[in-house]
Amino acid sequence: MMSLTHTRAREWMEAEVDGLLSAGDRQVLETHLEGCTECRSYMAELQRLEVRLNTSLKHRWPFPQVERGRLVDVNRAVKDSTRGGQMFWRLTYAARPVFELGAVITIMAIMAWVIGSVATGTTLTAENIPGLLPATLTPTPTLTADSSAQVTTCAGVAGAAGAQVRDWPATPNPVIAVIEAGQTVPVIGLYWTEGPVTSDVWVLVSVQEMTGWASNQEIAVAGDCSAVAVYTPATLPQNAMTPPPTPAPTNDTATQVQVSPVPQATGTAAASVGCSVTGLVDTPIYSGPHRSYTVIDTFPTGVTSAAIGWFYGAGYDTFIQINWKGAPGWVPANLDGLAYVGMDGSCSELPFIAVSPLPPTNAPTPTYQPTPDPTATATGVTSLAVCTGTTTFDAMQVLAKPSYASAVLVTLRIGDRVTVLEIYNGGEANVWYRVDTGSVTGWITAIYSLNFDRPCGNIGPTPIPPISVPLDFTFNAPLDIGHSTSFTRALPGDNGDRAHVIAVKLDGIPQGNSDPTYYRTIQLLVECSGNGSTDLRWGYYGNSPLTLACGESINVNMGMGWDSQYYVLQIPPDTGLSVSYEVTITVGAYTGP
Amino acid sequence: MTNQTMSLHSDIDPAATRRMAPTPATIDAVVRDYYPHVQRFAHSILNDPDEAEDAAQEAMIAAVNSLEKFRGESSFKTWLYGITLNICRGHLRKKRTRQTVANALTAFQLVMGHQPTPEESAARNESERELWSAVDSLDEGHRMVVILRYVHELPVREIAEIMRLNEGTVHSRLHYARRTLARKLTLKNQHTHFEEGEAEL
Repeated sequence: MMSLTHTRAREWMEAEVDGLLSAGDRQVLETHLEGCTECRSYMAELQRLEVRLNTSLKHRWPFPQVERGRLVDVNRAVKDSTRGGQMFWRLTYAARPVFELGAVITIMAIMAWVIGSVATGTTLTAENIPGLLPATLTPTPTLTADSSAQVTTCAGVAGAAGAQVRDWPATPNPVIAVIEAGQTVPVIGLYWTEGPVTSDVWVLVSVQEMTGWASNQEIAVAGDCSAVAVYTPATLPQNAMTPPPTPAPTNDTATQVQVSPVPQATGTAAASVGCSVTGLVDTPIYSGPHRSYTVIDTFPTGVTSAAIGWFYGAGYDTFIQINWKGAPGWVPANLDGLAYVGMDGSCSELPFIAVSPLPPTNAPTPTYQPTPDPTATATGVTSLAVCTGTTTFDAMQVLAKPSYASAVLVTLRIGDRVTVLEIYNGGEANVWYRVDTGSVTGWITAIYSLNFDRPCGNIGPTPIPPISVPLDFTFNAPLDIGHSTSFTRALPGDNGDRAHVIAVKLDGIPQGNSDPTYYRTIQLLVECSGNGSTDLRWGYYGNSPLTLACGESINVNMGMGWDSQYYVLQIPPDTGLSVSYEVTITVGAYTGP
Repeated sequence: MTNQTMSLHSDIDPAATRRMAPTPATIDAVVRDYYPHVQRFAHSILNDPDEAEDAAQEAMIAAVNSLEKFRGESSFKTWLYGITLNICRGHLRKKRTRQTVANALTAFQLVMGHQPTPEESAARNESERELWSAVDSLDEGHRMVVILRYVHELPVREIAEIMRLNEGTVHSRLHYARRTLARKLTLKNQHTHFEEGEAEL
């Protein structure tokens, strides 16, 4: 049967190789090919070309072996691009699932109730803790202090993509089981990974006769969870195979899943794979891959050592394990956005070492009895359980009162350890911690100023409620490519106000705009006059402070997702500089012609 | 490779994407699982490994900053490739400008003998080199559809989404590109398959 012309048949053959021919048309084409030698030749030629293109071109661009260091760099750059907006997502995305967990709120309410009672002698309920409960949340008025005696019926429901269960509450740790979408499992415990500036919550579940951790991004918690354990790093179960305290669901068809024990941080790592690290600065060597491990020695500038493993926690920091004086030690490759050691060689081969991201603590947790601070109003102060951390700023000033204009009691170096006693919430750009430095008690800014050693009690994942920000500038920036606008402002004089929050809000850009190829760039140019150190510190809302010299400018890609940006400019305390800054915002597009 | 990696590669469930926000954990996962693909994609479009790294990083930044806009209407990889392609086009445009300047400068110099690029010397044989050269000689629009189709094994529907063309246009570009490639390869080698095919008539 020759129901097709040759020209038509060729068109159909082209459609066939591109997968566009319907089954019916394919049948007609095959019938045509049976009777048409010329068309069969054409088809054979097409198929030969297909094979050549399919094989040769792939060889031209083989799948790249991306160095792990490169991945870390990209990861860092991507996070930097969003960091300014992280306050935004914390308050919108991260807080949402947490607040949806009525059970979590219940526990927080208990803690608030207990601590609040201790602190003020009055009964606090969840509703009157500032910023703790959104208006839409159902309060839990029936809670009593002894409600922990209730029987738990707390359950976790895996989300639409299922939930991965790990042997330790950190993303890089091995998956030991997977909960199918919609499946319900008993919940045994809850854990906040770090302090109040992060919002990762992990749920300890019982699955297939063992226990493991699922991220709250993958599992929703429901039911009465008032009796489930709330873990801190000190109380985390060290062995994930510990039998759960609640009966596991009986499932005869469940397959036995092998669980890998978590190696200890001090364990011996594999032999070197040809990757080395070199100290870019005098670098502390930690006993484990986190700054809260003990510092065992210093890795000097310029010294090179073979790398034997790496760890990349759920947060930002990457640590490299080295063999130092006969014992394993950990040096930070990237800590708070700062590079400490350089990497060289075949570092993509480095084995990942799954260790506890935080050191075990055997000391009993002391309880802190907060005393009211006369400098803060009662409504703005939230008392904390014992809460420790290290500073992220260099030259961080401890002030007598929660105000930048207050007297400086002492100046801390980056990495100094403090105990947080209280939080004063005076609004988004005016949140302070009262800290004990060991020598004095005073106030530091709460804006990304500390790395917390452990979860800090009832401040939970969102210590800073979305209070309206006193904006420096609001731009009405239309979505015009090439649109640029700028402003200049002089910082207050040398009146003690040596740090300044620049709050910028952009209006007029439709948030629903789904074209990801637009971008906005914010350029910050700093000018100084007078004498003194010319190195200022700056950061996105105080986080990861970087050095910015007078006369220098930085560019930040703001993306299209955020409508607010916060920066902190910090002027060294030993300078008499007058500082002004200029902010320029430009709208651009990645689109082609 | 972890299960998480595999689940991401099998493409993100549209229902799950409602939760996608640029959290550190999401960024970790997206960069770890997709960056190598994006870098290879950029390399194939730009044909310059260094520039591909820059473009891939820009693409990751653009994508993560727009993560909340991803609604699962296309696959995540398709969406990501679309962003990458746009960024690569920007790079190509700049490259053309630079090339124009470079051409103007070299016009005053003696024409040097052709030095094979490292990639050309990576070709396994003359036949492969010819094919690569023929693909390079296609104009940008036709070259891109060939690369998306044969290097990245994307179906016509996804190529259309990435390039924001309709499927018919993609198909007709592929058709034209294949005809052009067959002709170029025939001219270079008189004993090509095409002629063998003709001989069967």
